[in-house]
Amino acid sequence: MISSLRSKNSWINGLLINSQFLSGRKWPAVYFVGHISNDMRREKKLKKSELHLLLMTLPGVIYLVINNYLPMFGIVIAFKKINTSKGIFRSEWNGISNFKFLFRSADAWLITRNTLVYNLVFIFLNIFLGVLFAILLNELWSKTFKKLSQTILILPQIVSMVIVSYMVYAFLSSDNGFINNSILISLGKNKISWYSKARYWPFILVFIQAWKSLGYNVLLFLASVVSIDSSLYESAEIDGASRIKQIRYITIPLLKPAMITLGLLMVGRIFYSDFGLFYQVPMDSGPLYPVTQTIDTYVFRGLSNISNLGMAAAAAFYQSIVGFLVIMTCNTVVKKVDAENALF
Amino acid sequence: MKKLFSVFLVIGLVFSLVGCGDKPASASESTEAVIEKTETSAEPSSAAPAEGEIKDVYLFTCTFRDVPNSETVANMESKINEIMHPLGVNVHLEYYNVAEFDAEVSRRLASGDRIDLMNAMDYNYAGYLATESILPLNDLLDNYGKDIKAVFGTDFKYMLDGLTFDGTIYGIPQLSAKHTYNYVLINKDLADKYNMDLSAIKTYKDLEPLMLTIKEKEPGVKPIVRSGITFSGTTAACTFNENYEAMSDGVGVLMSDEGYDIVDFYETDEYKEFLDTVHRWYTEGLVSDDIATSGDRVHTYWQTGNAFACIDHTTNYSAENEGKNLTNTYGVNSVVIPISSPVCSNLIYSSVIPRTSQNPEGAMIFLNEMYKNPDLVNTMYYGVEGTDWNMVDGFITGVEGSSAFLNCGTSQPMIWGNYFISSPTAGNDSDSIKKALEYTRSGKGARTLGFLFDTSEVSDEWAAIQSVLSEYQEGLEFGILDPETELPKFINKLKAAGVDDFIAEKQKQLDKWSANK
Amino acid sequence: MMKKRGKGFQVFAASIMLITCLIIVIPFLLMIISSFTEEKSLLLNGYSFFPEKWSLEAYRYILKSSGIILSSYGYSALVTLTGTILSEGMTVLLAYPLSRKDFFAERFLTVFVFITMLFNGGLVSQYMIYSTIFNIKNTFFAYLVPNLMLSGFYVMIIKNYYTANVPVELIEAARIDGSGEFYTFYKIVLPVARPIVVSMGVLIALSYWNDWTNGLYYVTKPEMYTFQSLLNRMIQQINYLTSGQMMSNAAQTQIPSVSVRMGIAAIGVIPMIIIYPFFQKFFVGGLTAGAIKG
Repeated sequence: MISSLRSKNSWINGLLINSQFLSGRKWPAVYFVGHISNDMRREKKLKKSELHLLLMTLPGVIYLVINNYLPMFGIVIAFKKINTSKGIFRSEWNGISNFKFLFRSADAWLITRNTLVYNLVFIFLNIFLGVLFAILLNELWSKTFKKLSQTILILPQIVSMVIVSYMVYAFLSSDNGFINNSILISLGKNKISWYSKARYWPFILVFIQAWKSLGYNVLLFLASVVSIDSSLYESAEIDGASRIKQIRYITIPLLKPAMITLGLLMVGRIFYSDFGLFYQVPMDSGPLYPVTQTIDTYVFRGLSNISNLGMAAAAAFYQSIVGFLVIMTCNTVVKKVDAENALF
Repeated sequence: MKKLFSVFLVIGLVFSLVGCGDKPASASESTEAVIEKTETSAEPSSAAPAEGEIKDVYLFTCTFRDVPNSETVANMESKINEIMHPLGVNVHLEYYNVAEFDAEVSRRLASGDRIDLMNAMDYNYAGYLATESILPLNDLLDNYGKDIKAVFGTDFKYMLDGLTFDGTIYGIPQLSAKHTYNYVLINKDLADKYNMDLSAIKTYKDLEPLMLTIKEKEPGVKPIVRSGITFSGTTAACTFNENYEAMSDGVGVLMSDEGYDIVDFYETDEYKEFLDTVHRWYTEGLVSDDIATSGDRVHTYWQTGNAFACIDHTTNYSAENEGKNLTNTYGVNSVVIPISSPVCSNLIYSSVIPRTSQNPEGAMIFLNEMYKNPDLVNTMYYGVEGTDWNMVDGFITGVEGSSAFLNCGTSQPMIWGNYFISSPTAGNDSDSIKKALEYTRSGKGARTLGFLFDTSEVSDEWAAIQSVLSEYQEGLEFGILDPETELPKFINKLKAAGVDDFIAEKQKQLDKWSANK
Repeated sequence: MMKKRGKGFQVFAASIMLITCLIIVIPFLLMIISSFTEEKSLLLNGYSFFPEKWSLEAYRYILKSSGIILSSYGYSALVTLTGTILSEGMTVLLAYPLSRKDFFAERFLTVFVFITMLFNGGLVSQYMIYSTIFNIKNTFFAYLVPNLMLSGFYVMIIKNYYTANVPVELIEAARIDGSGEFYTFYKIVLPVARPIVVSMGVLIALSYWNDWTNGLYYVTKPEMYTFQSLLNRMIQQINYLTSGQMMSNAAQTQIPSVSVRMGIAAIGVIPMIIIYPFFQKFFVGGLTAGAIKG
C-alpha cells in the first residue's frame, strides 16, 4: 500500500518539476514539505483526493498529448526545406526563408491592419451581442417564443461559410440579386455592383460575422446569465431599481469574469481570420481586396498553386507566435488590474 | 547546401504552331500504325517478376465528380486484376476528389504514406521534383515500359521530353488530343434571327458589333458569358499573339519566335490592348457585373438560350464536331468558330511513381499495360463491361446509374493511359478516336518544350506574385477595372512582389537550357 | 421567478428578439425558395421570395448524383451523439481540477491546456500520427478523435464557470462530510454547473455535426461519409471547377447550376430544423434547471 503510494508520488513529483519549470512558482515543493510534517492520516487523505483530481484530468491530458503535443514536432517544418525522400527530420534546414513571402507583398501592412482591426471589432461585437442577447433571451416570458428564438439564433451556426456565401450572393448579385432587383429598382435607384465596391464591405463582413456567430456567443454567456441568483434581482426590485439599472449593476458585473475570459481567449486568435468569411463570402473578388485581404487569405492565394508545406507551416507559426505574445501581454495587464480574472 | 534535386521545376506549356486541325491525311493508317506497333512489342511483357508472385500496386487517382463507391471499386479491381495477375500485379484503386487531391497528395507524401502510382497535374509536377517526391523512370521504362516507349515512338517523343529534366524522365504523359485552339461559340438561333455574317469573325474583337446588336435588340440575353478563368478559358494571351509561349507560369513569357528573350507579359502592349478592348465592352454594357464573382459559367446560361457568345478553347479535332457536341449538350443550336490555330497545349495529366512506392516495378508494368491493352483501358475509364457499360454497335454505352461510368468516365479518359486505344462512347462519331489521333499526330512540340523552370530560388517572389495576380487578373481581364488607372497599379504591385527577380531567374535558366539544346 | 420584472423591458426584449429572428430567418428563406425555383426564372428574374415558376429539378439532380445522402445523415447523427458524450465527459472532468486552486497541478495543467489553443504542429504531423500510429483511416474513430474530442477553449470556459459559480465552501463542506472527489464532483459540482454543461454540450455537438475536415483527411470510402463531408465534397468540387484550373468542357458542364447549389445548401439546413426542436427540450430544460439551483 505504502509502496504503491510512493510510486504514485514519484510520478506526481515528475509533474511538479515540470510545473515549476513552466510557471516558475515555488510553492508546490513547499506544500509537499509542509505535508510531511503533518499528521499521517490527514496527509494520506489529501493525497488521495489529489490523486483523484489528477485522475479526472487523465483522459483529457492523454488526449491532448496525442492530439496536440505529439504532432508539435510539425513546427520544425516551418524551418525546413521539405524533401520527401529524406523525410521531415532529415530535410535540410532552411533558416527563416519560408517566412519571407509573408512580408513580400506591397500590402503587408494593409493585410496586417485588416486582420487586426476586423478581429478587434469582432471580439468587441461578439462579447457585446452575446451578452445582450443572452440577457434578452432570459427576459422573454413566453416559453414557446424563447424556444423558438433559441432555435433560430443557432441556425446560422449549422451552415458553413460557403453556404452563407451563397445566401449573400442571392442578395447582393448585381444582375440577379434580391437587393438590386427587388429593392433598389422598386425604389427607383440604380443597381449597385456590390462585389466591386470595396467601401460597403467592412460593414457587410461585420454584419455577416455577427449574424453567423450570434447564437454561438449567446450560448457562451447564457449559462452565466441564467445562473445569476434571482433573489439578487428581487431585492433590487424592492429597492426600486429599474430593469436597466438591474442589468447595469447586477448582471453585467456578474458576467464580467466570463467576458474577460472570453475576450482573452479570443485575443489569442487575433492573427487568424475566418477564411470562409474573407474569401468565400466576397466571392474572391479582386476589387475588394483592400478590405478583405487578411493573413489567411494572402497565404492561401499565394500558396494555392504551390503545395509548399514549409511556407504554409511558416505562416501558421507566425500567426501562433503573434497570438501568443498578444495573449501573454493582455493576460499580464489583466493580472495587474484584476488578478482574479486572469487566465493563469 | 548540397542539393541534388532540391529543385522547383515548372513544366512548360507545350505550344506548337501547326496548321489547323483537319488535314485530309490518312487517319486510319496512322491509327493502325500505332496499334500495330503496340502489338509487335506486346507479346512477352517478359521482364515481369518471377512466375506466380503477385505483388500489390496501390494506385491513387483523382476524379472530377464523386468518388465511386467501394462496391464499384471492388468490381473494377477484380476485373483489372484478371488482366494484371498474370503479369504479377495486384492493383488497388483509390479515388479522391480533384478539389482536394493536391493537398491530400502532399500530406500523404510528406508523411510517408504508401502510394505506388498516381496521377500528377502539370502545375504540381515541378513541386514533386523539388521535394524529390517522385522516382526517376528511365530504368523502369527501359525494363518494364517498352510499350510505352513504342507508343510515344518518334511522333510523340516530344511529349516524353516535356517531362524530362536533365535527361531524366519522371512522368509519363497521358496520351490524348493535346492541341488546343481558341474559338468563339455563337448562339446560332440568335445569329440567324439578325442575319449575322459569322464568317467575318476572325478574332475576338470581331464580336463587338454583333454583341451590340444583341444588347440592343434582346435585353434579356447576355451578350457574352465566361467559360473559365478569363474570357478565353485559360490565359487571355492565347487570343492575340501566335508566338506567345506561356511556359507554365504565364508571367515571364515568350512573345516572338526568334531568340529566347522573355518579357513580363503584363507589361506588353498586347496585354494593354486586350484590356482596353474588354473594358470598352464592359462600359458598353456587354459584360455582366457579376461575371467575375458568380460561379456561373457558359453552360448555365447557354442551356437556357439566354447567352449570345462565349470565347472558349478545345482540343476537339474539328470545330464543326465541337459545335455539334455543344448543340447536343446544351440543346441550343450552337456554332463554333476557331479564332486561333491549334497549338499543342500543356501535358496537364501525367502518371508518376512516388518515392513512397514499395513496388515501382509493378507500377510500371501496370502503366505499360495502360498504353497497350484496350480492355484494361476501357475498364479503367468506364468500369466493368456488362455491369457499368455495354458495347452497343461499337460504342460504349453506359448503364443507367452506374457509379463507375458516371464518375470515372468523366475523368479517367483525360488522366490515364492511352486514350487512342479506348473505344468511343455513345454520341460520338464512330471514327472520332481515329480522327483525334490524326489531329494529335499532326501537331509538334513547342519551342520551349522540355524547359522546366526551377522556382526554388524565387519561391517567395512566386507566392507573392500569385497573390497579386489573384487580386487583379480577373477584374482587369473581364474589363471591370479600368486599365488606365488599374493596370499601372497592378504592374507596380507585381514589381513590389519581385517580378523582375522572378523573370531574371527564369531568363537565366532558359538561356542555360537553350545553350545546351 | 421572473414574474415581478418590469413589463416594459420585456416588451422591448421581445421586439428586439423578434426583429433579430426575422433577420436571421430571411436569408434561409430566400435560399430555400431559390432551391425550389426553376433555373430559368432564377436567371431571368433573379432571386425572389415569390418565384414565377417552381421546380423540384434541383433536388432530383442532387438525389440522382448522390445516392448516399440518407445514410450520411445517419452516420452524422451517430458521430455527433457518440462524440458529444465522450467529449463532454472529458471536458468537464478536465476542467474541474483546473478550477481548484488547492490542486497542486492546477496552474501547470492550465498552461498545458492553454498552449494547445495557441500552437499546433499542423496537419502533416497530425496526419502521420493518426494514420500510421493509430491507424484510424476509414474507421469510425476518424470522425470521433482528431481535433474535436477536447477543445482547450471549452475547457477554459467551463473551468471559469466552476470558479465563478461553485463556491469553495460547498466543496469544503463536502470534504468535511467525507465525500470523495469523484462523488463531490458528480453530486455537487455538476448539478450546479448544469447550464454551462448543457451550453457547451450544444457547442460540442455543433462542432461534431459541422465538421468535415476529419472526413476529408481520414475517410475515403463514400459509404462512410457523414453528411457534412458529403456536402463539403460537393461544394469543394464546385469551387474547384469554377476556379478555372480545369481545362475541359466536360468538366465545366459538371458544375451544378445555381438552384442546385441552393438545393445543396438547403438540404444541410432542413433536417436540422426538423431535429432541433426535439433536442431543444433537453436543452432549455437543462438551462432552467440550473437556474433554480444556482
